[in-house]
Amino acid sequence: MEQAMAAVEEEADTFILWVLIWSELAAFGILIGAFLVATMIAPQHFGFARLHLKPGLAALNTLVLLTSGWQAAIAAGKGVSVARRRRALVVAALLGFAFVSIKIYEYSAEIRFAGEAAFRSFFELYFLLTGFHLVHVGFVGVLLLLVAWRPRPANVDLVTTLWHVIDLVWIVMFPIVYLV
Amino acid sequence: MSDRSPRQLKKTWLVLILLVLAGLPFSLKLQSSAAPLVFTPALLTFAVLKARLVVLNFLGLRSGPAALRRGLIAWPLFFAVAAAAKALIVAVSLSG
Repeated sequence: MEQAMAAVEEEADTFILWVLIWSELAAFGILIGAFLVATMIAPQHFGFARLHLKPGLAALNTLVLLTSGWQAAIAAGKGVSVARRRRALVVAALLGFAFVSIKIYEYSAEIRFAGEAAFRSFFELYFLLTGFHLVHVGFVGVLLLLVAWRPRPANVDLVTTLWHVIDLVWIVMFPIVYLV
Repeated sequence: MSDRSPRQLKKTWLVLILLVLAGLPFSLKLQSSAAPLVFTPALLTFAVLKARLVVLNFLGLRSGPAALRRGLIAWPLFFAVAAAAKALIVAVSLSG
C-alpha cells in the first residue's frame, strides 16, 4: 500500500515537473520569438548592436554549461553511489556558478552600449532574455547544492531534469542572440 | 533517471564539446556582417544536434515517452528553422 502511494506521488511530481518545464519553454519561446521579430524590424540596428557582444565568451559558457549538464547526467544515473552522486551535483552547481560569473563579466563590458539610442531595443531584449536565463541558472544551481546535501534519487531526478532544460534553452539562444 | 552508463555519458559530452568547437570558426566569422549566409544553417544545425544529444542522452529520453522526446526535439528545431528563415528574409531585404 505504501509502495503504491509512493509511486502515485512520484508520478504526480513528474507530471508537475513537466508542466513547469513546458511553461518555462513557452516563456523562453515567447522571448526568443520577440527577439527574432525585433531583428527583422530593425536588422541594421540589431546587426551593429550585436558587434558589441562577445560570442567567444558565450561559446566558453556553452562549454561550461554542457560540462555541467554532463555532471548532472552522471548524478542522475542508475546505480550511482551516494558519494559519486553528491560530488557530481556539486561540480554541476559550481560550473553553473562559473557560467553566472562569466556572464556577469560579459555584461560589464556590454552595459555601456545599452544607453545608445540606436541600440536600446536590442539591449533591452538581450538583457531580458539572457538575464531571465541567468536567473534560472543561478537559482537551479542553488537547488543542485541543496539536493547534493541529501541526494534522494527522486529529487536528483527532478533537479537535473530542470538543469538539462536550462541547458537546452541556452543551446538555442546562443546562435540566435549572438550570431544569426 | 538516465539509464546511460558513465562511459556513454562521457562520449556524449565529448561529441557535444566537439560540436561547440566545430561551430567556433563559424561563430567568430558570423559576427562580422560580411559573413556568408551559408554559415547560418551550419551553425543552427550544430545547435539542433547538440539539443538532440542533450534530450536523448543527458535527459535520458531515448527510451522515455515518445511524445515528450519529440516535443523537446521539436522545440529547438522550430526556433532554428525560424532563425534561418529570418536570416534569409533579412539578407534578401538588405540586398534589395
